Order: sequence, then C-alpha cells, then structure tokens
Amino acid sequence: MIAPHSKRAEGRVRRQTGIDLALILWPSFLAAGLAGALFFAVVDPQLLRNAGPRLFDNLDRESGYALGFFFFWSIGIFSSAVSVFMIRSARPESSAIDCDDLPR
Amino acid sequence: MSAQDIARKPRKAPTLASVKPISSAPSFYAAAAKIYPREVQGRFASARRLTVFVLLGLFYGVAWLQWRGHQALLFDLPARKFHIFGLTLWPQDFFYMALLLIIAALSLFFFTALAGRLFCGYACPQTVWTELFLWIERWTEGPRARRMKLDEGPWTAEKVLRKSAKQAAWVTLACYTGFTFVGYFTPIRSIGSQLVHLSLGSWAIFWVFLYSLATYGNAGFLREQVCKYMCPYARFQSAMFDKDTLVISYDTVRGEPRGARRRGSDPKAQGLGDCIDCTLCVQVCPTGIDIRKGLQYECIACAACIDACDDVMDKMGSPRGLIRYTTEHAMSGKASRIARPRLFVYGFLLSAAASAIVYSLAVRTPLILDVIRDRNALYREVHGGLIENIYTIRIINEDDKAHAYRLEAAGLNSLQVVDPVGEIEVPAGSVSTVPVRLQASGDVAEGVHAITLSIKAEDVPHIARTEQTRFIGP
Repeated sequence: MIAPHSKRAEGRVRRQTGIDLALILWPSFLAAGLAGALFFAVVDPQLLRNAGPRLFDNLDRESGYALGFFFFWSIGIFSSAVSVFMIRSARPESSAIDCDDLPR
Repeated sequence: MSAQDIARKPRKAPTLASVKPISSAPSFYAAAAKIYPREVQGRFASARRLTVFVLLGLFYGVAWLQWRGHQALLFDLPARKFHIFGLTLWPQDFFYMALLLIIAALSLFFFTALAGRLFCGYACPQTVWTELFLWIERWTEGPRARRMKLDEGPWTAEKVLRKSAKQAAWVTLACYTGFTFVGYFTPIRSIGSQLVHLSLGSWAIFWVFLYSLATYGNAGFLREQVCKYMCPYARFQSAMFDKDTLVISYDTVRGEPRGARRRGSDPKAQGLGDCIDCTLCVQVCPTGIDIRKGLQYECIACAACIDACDDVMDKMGSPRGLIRYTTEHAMSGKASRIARPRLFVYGFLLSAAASAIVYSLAVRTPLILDVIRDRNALYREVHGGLIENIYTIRIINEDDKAHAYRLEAAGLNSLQVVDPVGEIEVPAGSVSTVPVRLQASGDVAEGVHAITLSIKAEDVPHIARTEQTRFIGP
C-alpha cells in the first residue's frame, strides 16, 4: 500500500481504489448476468411466491428478475472483493511479479 | 503519457513483440492522464464511421420494427418469451440461446485468429459508443488542440457553455440508449407510451437509469480504460493469435532510425529511416499507446495510426504502409499463410454449431406436452368392468398461430381416451391445462403398464408430440 504523503501518491491511491472497484464490480456483474440468465431460464420468479419466506408473497416477475440479479451480483461482489483484498494485502515480494521484470 | 513525453524519452530500437498480456504501459498504480484522441481521416476511419452508423442504426432502429403484430426482436422477460422475428422461444428452448452464445464466441475466436482484433476496432459496443461520444465532444468542444486548451484554461463563459452543451448531449444520448436497451426486454412501444404519459413502472425507470449510467460512464468517462483494465478479451486474445494473424504493425526496419527532416530531402543521406517522428500515430490513438513500440495489448486495432501515417507518408512522398495491417511472419520476411490448422479448427466448430442451430430450428416442433398422473388415486373401477386413470396434461403451443389438437393413447389393448374426446383448442403462444380420463377393460389392465399419450395438430400433421406415462390397474 502506498502512504498518501504527497499529492501524486494521493492520486495514485485514489486511482488504485477506482481500479479495484472496477475489478470487483465488473466481473461480478458479468457473472450475475450469466447466473441470472441460467437461473431464470429454469425457474419462473413467480414460482418463488409460495416457496420462500413471506417476503416473496407479492413478487411479480420484474421484481423477481431484479432481486435475483442483485442477489447474484452481491455474491459475485463478495467473491471478487475477497480476491482483490487477498491480492492487495499480500506482502510485495510474494505478490505478482513486477511487470518490468518480465521478459518482453 | 503525452506525445511530448514519448518524444523526449531515450529511443531504443523497438522490436515487434509478440502479443503478451504484458506491456510497457504504466502499472496499475500510475495516475492516468486524460487522452485526447486526435481526429483522423482515411480509409479505416471511414470504415469505422460506416460500422458505427450501421451498428447503432440497427440498435436504435430494430427495437421499433414490428413483425406480424409483435415487436420483431423482443426478449420479453415479463412474459417469459423471446421473439426473434417469426420465431418464438420459450424458457424450454434455452438450448437455442446457449447455442447462439457459443456461436458468437466461436465467431470471435475465428475472426480474431484471422484478422486480429477486428471486433475491438470496429464492432465492440465500447468502441462504437465511445466513437459516438467523441463525435459529440468534437462538435461541442472542437478538435484535439482546442479541447486540451479548453481543459487547461479557466472557466470562462465559453467553456461553461461548451461543456454543458457536451454534457447535455451526452446525457440525452445515454438516456435514449438506456431506454432503447430496456425496450429489447419489455415491449418498447408500451414503455414508450408509458414514458410519454409519465406512467413508467419503477423497475423500468430503474433499468433505464442504470443502463443510461453505464452508457455515460463507459463511453463518456471511462473510455479506453474499459479496454485497458476491464476487458478480459484484451488479455486472452493472445491465445488466439499466431504469427500469421493480421495485426497492426510499425515497420521498424523501414522506419528507423526515426527523425525530423526537411520535406524533399533524402533521408538516406541523413542516415534516417522513413519515420519522421511526427508522433501523429500517438496523437490519434484512442488508447494512448505508441504503436512504434511494438504490439501491445492496449491496441484495439482501430487502425487510426495507419490512416494518420499514410497521410504523412503521402505528404512526404514516401510509399504508404510504414504502419500497416500485416502479420508477424510477413514483417520478418517470411510467407504468411491464411489456411492454417487453427483457422480450420475454429471454422469447423463454428460451422458445426451453426448447422446444429439451423437444423434443430428447421425440425423444431412448436409444441410441448407434459403429462402428470393424478396423485390422489392410482385407479378407479367404473361400471362395465372398466379401469380408469386420471391425468393432467399441459399443452404448450409455441407456434404463432392457434391449433386444434387431438389426443390419442396407446400401449395397452382396449385403452381409450374418454375425456377429452374432441379437439383441444390452444391459442397461439399459450399454455392449456387439460384433465384427461383414460379407460381400459379390467381383464387387461391388471398391474402397471407403460403407455404413451400423443397429441397431434389437426391442420399440420407434423406438429405432434408423444410422452410416456403409466396406466395402473388392480
């Protein structure tokens, strides 16, 4: 992690946070889209009406799709966030090789 | 990195590096400078302009197209039916959607192996919408130099006016894009009229807003960063590349050593190659790379640098093609092959998947029959020494016209359909649930028998389905 002791470093940290956010939100969004499509191809959200807790009693299809999508997205966000956290919090020498060291 | 930075850097002789997911680009942590792609004219710029018009024209236009009384292309999620022109797909037909996705992926592999990142440079929604947003930026803020000056300068009335004009156009376009996108999943004419009457449902508003935001963010704000940091295809395309893949390359041998020279002077006498180091190829690059450093994964193969360089070569009186579409083999003086095993494999898989979908759609029966045995009673003895079993059948007419079906039972002597005896009418695209009574004579019905129930459309004999079930006797 870079300590924000200069304006330049501060910008870098902000940028890293931005990229981390993209790395968390984007792949999980793709995964949620895929999971949602597969799940709702088999399950009609209206079938969930009487299957689950009372929460779903008045579920219409559109809400069902939206809730399902956000459910899958949140699972994906959790998974991606753990991945990014593990990569970012690793000691530098054990994390990914610096790009400049690799043969080109 | 600006052009000046590159010009100031000590020059190493660049090599045509093979594509690896590694680049000389700054690491993740470097602060990104805003890229101001310079406007470019030429063959490839015209080709891209054309594809932008065609693809966006299709996207915004097809949503409004009608086909036999319904929206021509509609993935109707609320009704759980997909309309693709004359074809209606039900959740049971998910197989076709999966096959379509496989075909899309295989096409991407095939064309990538053949001609590199054609998709990125011309057809990717990210490129297409970014191009459109850039046009708006040019109309409102002017060409590259003006935009850079405008951004550096103070907030004058003109700057405020130009920036707000740009934002207004961007937001309007993004909202319309979001609306059109949602229009492919909910009938666009109905949400259109709901929008006019301000009665749009809350989920529709939410999705329109989300996709507007995504369009604005991706095409207006993130742009090349989507390709650099978010696109997995950019990273794994190397798996589909080989030394015969068409890529955009700078001809190092011809270009180096680069340097400024007087027009009309002989570069050879000055010990120079054909590259005049005008850095125009860097200025036009939407991802801000220098193609002269070799192929990099940030390169979306938009060919803007080819157009820019060809123009310069024309002016200098040198032949075109210092930067050109070529292959690594051709660049190193070897022969390029188009026909190679990789292409045959991708081509074979692609045509197999395409034939599979064409064949299965051609022989598809737009009819589904589900048979459920009555769970309450195994059997019933009725007068006349007959045994009766009760079923519920579900007939799904997937066709876009109504049909009358006739039910038949077979597999056991004397087995008869007692109810329903007549025709079963099922309207177009509907599901009908029908109770069924079968009877068989008591002396043959003993035990459990495997029987079949079939329905057949009276008007179109090949629309028929047969399902297995059981007939149970004492």
